[in-house]
Amino acid sequence: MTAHVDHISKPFDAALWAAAEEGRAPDSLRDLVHGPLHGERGDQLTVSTIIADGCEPAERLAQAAAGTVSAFIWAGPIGVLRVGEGEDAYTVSVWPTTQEGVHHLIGTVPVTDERWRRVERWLANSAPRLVPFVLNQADFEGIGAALAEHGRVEVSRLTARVLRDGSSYTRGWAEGRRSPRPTYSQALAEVEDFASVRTLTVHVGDLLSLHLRRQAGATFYGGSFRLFEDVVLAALVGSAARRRALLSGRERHAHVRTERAIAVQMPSGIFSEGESVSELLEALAEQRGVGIAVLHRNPYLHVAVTDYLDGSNFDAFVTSDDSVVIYPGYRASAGALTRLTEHIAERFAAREVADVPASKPPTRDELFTTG
Amino acid sequence: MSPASDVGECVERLLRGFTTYDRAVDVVSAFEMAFTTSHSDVPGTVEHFERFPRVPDADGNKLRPDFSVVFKDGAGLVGEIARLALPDNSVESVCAQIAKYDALSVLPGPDGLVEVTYTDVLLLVPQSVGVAAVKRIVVERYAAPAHPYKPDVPPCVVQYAFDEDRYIFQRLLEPTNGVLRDGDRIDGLGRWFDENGDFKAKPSRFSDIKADRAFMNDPVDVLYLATHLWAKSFPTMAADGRRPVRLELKAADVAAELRDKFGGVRSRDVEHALDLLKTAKLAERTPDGWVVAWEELRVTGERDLAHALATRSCRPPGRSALTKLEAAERAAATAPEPPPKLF
Repeated sequence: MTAHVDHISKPFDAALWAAAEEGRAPDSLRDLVHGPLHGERGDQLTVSTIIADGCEPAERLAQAAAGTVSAFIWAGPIGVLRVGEGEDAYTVSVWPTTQEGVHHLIGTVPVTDERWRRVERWLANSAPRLVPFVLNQADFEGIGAALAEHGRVEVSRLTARVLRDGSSYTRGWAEGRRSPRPTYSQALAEVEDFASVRTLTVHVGDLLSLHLRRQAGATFYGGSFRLFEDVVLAALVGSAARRRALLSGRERHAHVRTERAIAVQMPSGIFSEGESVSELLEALAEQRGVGIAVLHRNPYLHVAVTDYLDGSNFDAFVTSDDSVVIYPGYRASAGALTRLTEHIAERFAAREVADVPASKPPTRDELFTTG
Repeated sequence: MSPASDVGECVERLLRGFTTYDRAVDVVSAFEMAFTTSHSDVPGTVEHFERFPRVPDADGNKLRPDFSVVFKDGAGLVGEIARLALPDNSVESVCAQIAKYDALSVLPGPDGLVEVTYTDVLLLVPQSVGVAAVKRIVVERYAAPAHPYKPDVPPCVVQYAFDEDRYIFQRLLEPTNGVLRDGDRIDGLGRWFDENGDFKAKPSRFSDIKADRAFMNDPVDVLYLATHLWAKSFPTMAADGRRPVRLELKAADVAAELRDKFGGVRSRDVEHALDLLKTAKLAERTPDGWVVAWEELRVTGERDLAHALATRSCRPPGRSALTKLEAAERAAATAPEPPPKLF
């Protein structure tokens, strides 16, 4: 199945599709962007970074999108899906990165657009083989610090989730000479006591404008794509690779005592109310193909989580007011574990997904006092 | 098990057994933590902690206390959780059981049974019956000259409760209540109770042990094991692929695998759990064993699998999951081969 280049209106999409139809890979993402993205209003490049577990991600995504995608061809190692026909057609491409199992989904439609929501649904239907992930707070902050080496980093818009009730919080700052917009770290600091930042619209002097998201992804609005690629995309890839390494090979083995567990670490106090434990159970069970069995409910939570799609299973414990500790079972794929941790992290505004000691033994004094 | 006329009562009964068993798993896990991983001097005094002991008594009968400990100085301890009802025959039964433990001269060591110089008995009871237990067992029986219950030393009765965010284990202060003999060991639970009266254990201290072991030494509660099979064992067998999936198995094989991975599960336990799944129309007996139709289980308005299994076994659906499975298998067998590529 083929499509004609001149039927795709966006230059980036058209150039990528042309390369794909000719059966050649574009020289690089940077080359492809430099030509067709002219910084015009509406020009943007949306990137979502995903983790793949034991599948060819472009083919998997094409299967999930089979009813919608009008064509799928390879441009070298890049899988290109064409959606729709004629002037409204657009591409979604799957780009390998320097790290095994880490890929970028790239398109020119805005991340808030229904057309990208559709891509997110394909992704959800590809779980647990393909999964997004949520950046750790430190990684998110690190991107700001890395960008600051190239100029003053200002924030023009921030969205966050209010920790108390999960509601949305949005704040914008107009550009003004008398009152400059906050820096990256100032913007984060402004809400850190009551909310978890989900997205930032960021400007690095006159060099770069972008939209950065905790659910790992970024949108290039204009400026130096080299800087966007070298700092932002590289950070997303590094973070994904670390997450994939953290969550791979975690299945339990007979006669081997579990030494390490995985903790989804939230802001302090998030599970202090009984209602939030109910919300956690609802959140766990609402995922496609995921079931729960509550072994102990009150006042601590022990729940068996089963991924019915690939048979992975886990024990999850909430024994403090700020974390979910996960012990993988005898089948525990990296994809299922990534999906589980991502879902909890996204829903409860987690600070990080981390490797922790499986055991926290008490001292004699603790046994006599706090337990 | 046949469907009860009162579905609510049936579900409630199953869930009560489930909860009681889970509490017992917690209690044993807390003591395993205290004896093996706590950052105290106690683990250094322990030669072997056995979570699933099987010990022959003098007559060769197998005894199954809830856990046992062999100390490096050659002494032993057995722990027993008593879900004590207070009619006399229940108390007599507990006394008869723990009298046998007191007489044990061998306990499980790291490589099989080893001789012990003595065996202390730690009797764990819920706080709701703690005072009554020490009165009925120690005062009215052990200390009463005419009563035949006469172990070498009285059992140490410890009551447990969940207090705020932790379990609390409290030795009852009745003067004739037994003590745990620490001998010349550098530290021991006898000293803990003597110094502090109790010790506490937050679930975070033993959650790793609970996840590793999953069970305790009593016969596994039927709903608890059915839930474990559905949530953990069957998905591990099934991996990915079509749902529902046919799983053919033998109870003895499943029990052996559970024992290898977690310990303590008997074939009879697995048979009972599979019987519950059969009542729930999720499994059937075959000439060779069992067949299970495994998939995500949905019961309207209920997300918790244990509740769903309880409800389904108390109020079975009209159609068996095996019927649905066979229909799905027939459809798959007659369906044309899918094209190898989408595009």
